[in-house]
Amino acid sequence: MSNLIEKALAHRLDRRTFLKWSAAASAGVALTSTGGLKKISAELAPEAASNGAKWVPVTCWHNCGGRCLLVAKVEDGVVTQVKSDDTHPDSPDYPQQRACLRGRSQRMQVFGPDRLKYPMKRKNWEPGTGGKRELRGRDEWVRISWDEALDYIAAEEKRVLDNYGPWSILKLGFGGADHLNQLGGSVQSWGTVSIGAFPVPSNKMKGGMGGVNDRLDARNSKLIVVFGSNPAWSSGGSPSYHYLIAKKAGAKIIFVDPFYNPSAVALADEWVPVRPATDAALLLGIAYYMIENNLQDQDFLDTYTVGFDAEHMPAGADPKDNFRDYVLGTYDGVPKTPEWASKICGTSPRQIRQLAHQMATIKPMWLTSSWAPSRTYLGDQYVQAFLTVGWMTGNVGISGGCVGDAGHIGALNEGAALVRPGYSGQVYIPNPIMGNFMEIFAGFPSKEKSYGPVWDEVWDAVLNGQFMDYQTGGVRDLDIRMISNIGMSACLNQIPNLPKGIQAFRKAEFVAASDYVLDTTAKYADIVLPVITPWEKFGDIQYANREVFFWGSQASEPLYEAKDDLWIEVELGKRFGLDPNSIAILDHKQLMFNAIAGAEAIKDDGSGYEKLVSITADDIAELGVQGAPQQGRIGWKELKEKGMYQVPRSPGDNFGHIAYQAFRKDPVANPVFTSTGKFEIYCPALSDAIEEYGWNTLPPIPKYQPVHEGVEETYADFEKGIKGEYPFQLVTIHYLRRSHATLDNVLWLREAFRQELFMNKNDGEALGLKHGDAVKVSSKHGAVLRNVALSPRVMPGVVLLGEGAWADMDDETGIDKGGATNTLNGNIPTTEGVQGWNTCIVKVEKYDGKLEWDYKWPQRIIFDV
Amino acid sequence: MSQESHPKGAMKEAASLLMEARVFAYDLLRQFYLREMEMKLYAFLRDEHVVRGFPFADEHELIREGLEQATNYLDSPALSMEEAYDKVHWDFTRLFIGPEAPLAPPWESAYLSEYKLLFQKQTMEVRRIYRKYEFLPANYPHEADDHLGLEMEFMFHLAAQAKAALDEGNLEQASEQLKEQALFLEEHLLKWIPKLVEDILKSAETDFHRGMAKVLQGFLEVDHQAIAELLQAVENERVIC
Repeated sequence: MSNLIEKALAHRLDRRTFLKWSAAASAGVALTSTGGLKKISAELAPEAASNGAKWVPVTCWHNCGGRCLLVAKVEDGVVTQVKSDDTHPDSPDYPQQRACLRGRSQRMQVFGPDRLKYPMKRKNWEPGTGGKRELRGRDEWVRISWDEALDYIAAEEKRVLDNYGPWSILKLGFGGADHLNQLGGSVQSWGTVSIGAFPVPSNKMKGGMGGVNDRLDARNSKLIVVFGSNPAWSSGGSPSYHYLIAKKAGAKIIFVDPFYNPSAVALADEWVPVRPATDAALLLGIAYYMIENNLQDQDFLDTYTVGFDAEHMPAGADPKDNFRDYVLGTYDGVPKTPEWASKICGTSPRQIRQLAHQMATIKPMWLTSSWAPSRTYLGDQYVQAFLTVGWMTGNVGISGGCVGDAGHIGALNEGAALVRPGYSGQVYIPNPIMGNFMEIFAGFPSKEKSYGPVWDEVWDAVLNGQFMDYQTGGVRDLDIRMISNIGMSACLNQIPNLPKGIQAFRKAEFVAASDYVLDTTAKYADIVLPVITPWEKFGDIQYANREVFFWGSQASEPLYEAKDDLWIEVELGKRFGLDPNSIAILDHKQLMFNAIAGAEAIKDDGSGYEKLVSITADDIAELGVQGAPQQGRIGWKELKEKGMYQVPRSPGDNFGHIAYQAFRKDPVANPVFTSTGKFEIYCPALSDAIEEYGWNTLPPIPKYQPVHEGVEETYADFEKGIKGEYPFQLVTIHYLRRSHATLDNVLWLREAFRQELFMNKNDGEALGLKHGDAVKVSSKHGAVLRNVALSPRVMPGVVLLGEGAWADMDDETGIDKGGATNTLNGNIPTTEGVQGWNTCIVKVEKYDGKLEWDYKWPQRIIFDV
Repeated sequence: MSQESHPKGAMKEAASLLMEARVFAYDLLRQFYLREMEMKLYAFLRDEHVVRGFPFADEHELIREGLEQATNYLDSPALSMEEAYDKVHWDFTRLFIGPEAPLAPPWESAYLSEYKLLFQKQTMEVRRIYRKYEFLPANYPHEADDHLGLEMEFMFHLAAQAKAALDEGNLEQASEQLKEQALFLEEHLLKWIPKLVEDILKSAETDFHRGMAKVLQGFLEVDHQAIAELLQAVENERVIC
């Protein structure tokens, strides 16, 4: 390879080839002079060049249980760095809203090479029939234009609507802007998902969910008992820190959980292990100890509750059905002693008594629970027992004392929002054939319309054409022809029984999806549409804990051909002749202006709200929006530059919150919203409500009943202690690698959190397993491969796996190499539409093949055996 | 090289021919890598044996081997043209487009940036160089400037401009543009293309893409040498003038 110039004379370029090639360009076969690059004018070239770096606040938009500030350093349209909250000094009263590893990895997904860049269609898809439907999830793909993609989708929608009507389109998502709602609607699905079995028991027994005090009041507590919570992983932002401050202020902290989890390691004085779905039994054992030793707050029970004992039963109820006599076993002959409880829940009788004694005697006590222990079959029995035992201690409506569920952004912190954005003015058209999902999610269903199939039945509904309908109270026929995941796309991965979901997807005549990466749902679609992330639009507002909200700005132009979700709805609507403005407003500046102009903050005296933002006529002119100048606390530009507004707090300020304080002071004048106006330990309204759903009956007082895929079913002979085919209980934990299914493609996070199966060390060694070994985990519903992490921190008989990993199903073996928990979870509908993610029994076997840690996998190309 | 043995005119003609070969090579490569090839181009390549005419096969084993592999694919009677084209098309989609993570992400920053992302420092650097020559990606700022096809197109334009400058006797301009191309090869293409080619060879399903990947790598190495020689020739010429 030298003397190339000399050789050029000898081996001159083949003239014939060269001439043919020149002809190709002029005949339009090949690209002419410009192809991918365009010529810009000499004057423009320097002008368009970098004008220095600027810091732009951007949103951290996932549903992770927290919200934090992110600020991106943008240079010449490129994000080169991300930082978090440094807008004010950090203090316990006025903490910074600093991001975790997920927020700090945000640009890994916004700018990941795996972003969806173009509309694509499955190669063997055919309009009308779906072509070779069985190839969904493994077909080849072809890039198509937006017009082609939208025309195809609109044509399929039209075909299905004309021939079968709106009951034949399944729209997986949560409504909002949806052109289908103007064309007759679509079938949707529902369930309580995160909040488990808390809504209905809370509503019927005490008038609503929640019930904990404000975070500053936690410092007045002497004992904090936490059920099923790991805020370090499931409540992003500051909740773990608030616990730490309460501990430093003198509270003893006890965690009750099958896993000595990272929050417990950092915070707990004691860890009380309990088996999944048996917390109700543990709580009954605690109640027995309190009653046996007469430690319950009888005055509180007599004044504020009904149904604790025979003397305080509501009119018309059988006095024998009271809680006290159930616990003592007066009529059923089974005293719910700590020994009785221990056999079920696995906690030692001694530890049950210790916990009970402390809960009854250390005051004030803050008793709180995440929703996780109720995400089980018959999860309502846990909620009943949790509230009842809490009330037995009398810790209600007092400083430092409370009983209630709290999780997500409200972990250890409840109360009205101190600052809140206004209404953007976006169009909202309800689905004409479906009731509002939020009603049933919140535990207040109505029979005016159907809600469609519950998540646990949605795949069966597609496959078998039937579902249990809340509206009619019976089975309803359904003929789904099309599944649309446009606008929201994680459902296939995030709903129980993923293998069945894949079958349902492969049955439909047409499946469409939109997303910014090819997650599990989009992978099984016929057509996928690329959408932008919130970093690629004018602005995005995120609600957060009560003290703050975030306003992120645009950091990047839309990547490649990615479009706004609402633009897609408008474009599809146009193909049916719908007025674009009736579907969605696409003017993001105006929407953002409305929301920010309407933002309010609490007044210093706590008496009400006032306008947050000052806006000048110049601001409005500069933005080019409709609006009027206004006075507020902070200027438009200052707020935009900061990206957040946080209300400073201090002990004794006017923004505190003691739950049920008014009720505690005067229960007659301030009754709670229940049928008796009191807390209802005996609650027939709850039993009636659960019966309405059609799957279970629930007694009006807390009782323990064995559940589907609970601990008892891990035994061949429970009494004799002989384990069965599926000897382990699976807990599906929130996992810091991602937020639900979001971020699972980020290699940084994969490396830090490896989606290992956590297992008790002795259990693992009994199976001949070593730390890091590949294992096959099988349930009655599916199987996954994972590497095992052996630890004494996991209770014997229990295994844990993080929810949200992207399934990677091998069609030949039926094994999911990605380790999605919904591959293992069965779809067993229960009570109020609870997804029983923590009632699932499994077996674990050593896997002969090698399974590389998944951060080393090429994305989506998995491993070698 | 021994310029002394050639008269000035012959030297210039040889340099111009070498430059023409470079322009052709970059032109062909940008066609292959900017986006999926259309059927008519594939048919043209096959029927007119254009790939066989790719220069420098004798100069680098990878080019020779790659051309053989690619032309064998094009010439093979085993598949109908539609089938063969279809495979090449799908191979391009899975290697370079998606919708799953592309198996050989064709962006410089996906290989050279600290976290293997798009729109990184490399993207900005490449953009700065494009701007200097009054170019930007057609879909700026929505697509990353450091895409393989765009970098090939940039080299194509600069090679063509340098050739024109040389032909017009504007040695100063030719020299400046050749230096820029040498730098672009050294600081960009030669740093990441070998890694990309490794991924293509690992993941491609067609001999067409495997072959062209080898040609790509081999050619960039040859071109680095070619530019060095051309620069020297131009410098000598300038001294003589």
